Amino acid sequence: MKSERILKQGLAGKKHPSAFFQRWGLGLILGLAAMSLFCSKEVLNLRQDKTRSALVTFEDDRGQKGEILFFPRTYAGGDTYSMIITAPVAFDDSLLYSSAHDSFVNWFTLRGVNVWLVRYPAGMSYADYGRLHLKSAIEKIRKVSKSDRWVVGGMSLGGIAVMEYLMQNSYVGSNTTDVDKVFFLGSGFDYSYPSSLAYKATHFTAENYCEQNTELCIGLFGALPGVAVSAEAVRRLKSESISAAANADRLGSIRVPAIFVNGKIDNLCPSETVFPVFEKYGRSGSRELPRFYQPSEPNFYSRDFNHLDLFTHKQAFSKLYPELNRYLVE
Amino acid sequence: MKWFSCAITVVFWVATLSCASIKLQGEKYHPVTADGWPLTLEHFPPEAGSVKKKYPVILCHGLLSNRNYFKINEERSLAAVLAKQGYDVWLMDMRGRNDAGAPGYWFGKHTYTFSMDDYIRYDVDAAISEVLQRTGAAKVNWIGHSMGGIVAYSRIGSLGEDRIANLVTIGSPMLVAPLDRSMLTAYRMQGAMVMVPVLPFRPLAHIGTVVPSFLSSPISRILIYEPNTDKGVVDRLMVTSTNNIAKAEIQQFIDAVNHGGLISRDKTLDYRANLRNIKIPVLIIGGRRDHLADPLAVRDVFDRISSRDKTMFIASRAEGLSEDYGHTDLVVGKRVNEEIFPHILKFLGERN
Repeated sequence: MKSERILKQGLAGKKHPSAFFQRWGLGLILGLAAMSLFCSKEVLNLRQDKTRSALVTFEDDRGQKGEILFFPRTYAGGDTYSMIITAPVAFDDSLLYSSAHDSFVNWFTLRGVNVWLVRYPAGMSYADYGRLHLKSAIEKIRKVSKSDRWVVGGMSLGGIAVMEYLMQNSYVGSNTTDVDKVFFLGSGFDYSYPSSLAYKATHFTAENYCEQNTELCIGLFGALPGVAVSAEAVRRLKSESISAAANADRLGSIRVPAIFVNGKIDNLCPSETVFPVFEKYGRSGSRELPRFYQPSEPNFYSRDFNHLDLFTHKQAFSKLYPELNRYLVE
Repeated sequence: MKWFSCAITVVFWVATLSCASIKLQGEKYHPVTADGWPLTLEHFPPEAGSVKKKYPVILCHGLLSNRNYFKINEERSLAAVLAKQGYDVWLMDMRGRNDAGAPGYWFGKHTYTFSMDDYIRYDVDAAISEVLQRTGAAKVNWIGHSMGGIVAYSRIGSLGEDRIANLVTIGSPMLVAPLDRSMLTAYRMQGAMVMVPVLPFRPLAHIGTVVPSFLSSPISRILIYEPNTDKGVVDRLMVTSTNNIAKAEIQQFIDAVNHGGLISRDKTLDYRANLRNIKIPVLIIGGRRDHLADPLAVRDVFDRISSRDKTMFIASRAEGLSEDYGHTDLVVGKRVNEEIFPHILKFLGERN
């Protein structure tokens, strides 16, 4: 009983030097741990910040100056692949790498992928962006960087440029065999039907159209997380989108395996603008048939994805990008 | 406690069933097809005082459904709205629906052995003949939801049907692409069909009214977009408008997945390819959120038919509508009277 009482007194912190050390030492250790955690979070933030990117400039075959943002991988444990992506065209490209939220670029760089973003020169046609600008950018990137595997991605309406690039190269030679895989994330292609958005978009006259027509733009794109929408890019779809019927041969002769990802309720790049191209893509020459994937409730997502969900929804990061990555590395 | 729970469940079920009756009733006819199956046609004449239209309208239901689907909203239903506008309206039940004598599961004069080919070859023919004979009209307008549109596409395109003047289809694909993993899972489980004589959706739907929604949601989400459908309508759909599916019908859709488009069971008719033979005015309506008739399949039809007079409308928020529509809410949704039916009335009004 006596020993028990002494023990209790000791535990009550009665001036024993070791008890003092236990209390403050533990506090010190916890404080240091918290500080190191804070610092590592800072480091992580620094890694995720867009300032981590490097700017590369180049000139395309017409002398148009261009910019490429390079996002080096932040995880060096895996030797995966290098990815070249387009800008979304209708949106500011910071949507893809902004540190304000989880982003597409960060997700992939954290998994060992070097990402190169070919920026969109404002006002350039989709065809020129793909056939000239993207082509020159890819050549430049491949001169300055070595990788065993290259993947090209069309982001949103930037997918039209990637398809233009692929169609052109499918004719002129075997360049596209240098690309291992292609993906299209929320890319619409064929708007050549009367009720399509391209035909309706003639009233998209003001550049701040979405600020004036919030409800309609929410219907078109989903949420508007402070992302400016280029009305001009949408207007030009009428004359610059890719008609599957008119390009059947060129689409058919593309040889690069591809996956088309389209939000179920994406009203900007809806499935009916994707499927006509998907149906003809690579049918006469691809190494494997293309795939079509829709993030939707029947595919066990929490909701049917709209356009911006493909880039900002939490399940894009927890489910869609892992699926995409699996396809790209398999 | 257990008995008390059961009693509550039964009371709730009975209450649901009694609330599910539909007051809107027309005169019923039972024409018989060339191969001996009785059908049901329910007639709603043009409302007194309305301007009578040129052609009568036949409304044809989908795969899992029956004619009640078109009158479930009572005075706000498509049948009532058309009659008010001066159309002679005929709701059609294809074979295998209860009012003309339900088939037996294993035995009886008729069992669930029919396929979509039988609808296309016999049922559509019998319904049109009956309506033309009773109205004296030269042709009909056809409005089909889901498979109700598919049978019209197939009969016009592949069998040369020329008694349909104008065609309206709502959520009708001629292409079945397993875009969804749950559909793909169902597709892979096709072998399990040997264990049952029919896919018993009718009794399952009755049970579904008392099953918690989280259990029934994987199936119902594909069919019904509940946020755009009144709860009472969902319950009435389950109780009054759900039908069993014959195995051969499902097999035909499985063949469509494998072939890349709808074909006849004997593979001699390519219904999708023959869409090019359609030259009459067509209004094609799809729902942006429709998981059974994805807009990509709706546009596929639009591109393939040869009609010069063709219109496609995808019910979505991009069109300024309140919702991105699914499959069933295109006909029974909360705001169809303001957002969907006016397109149908305008299309028919300009051609009648």
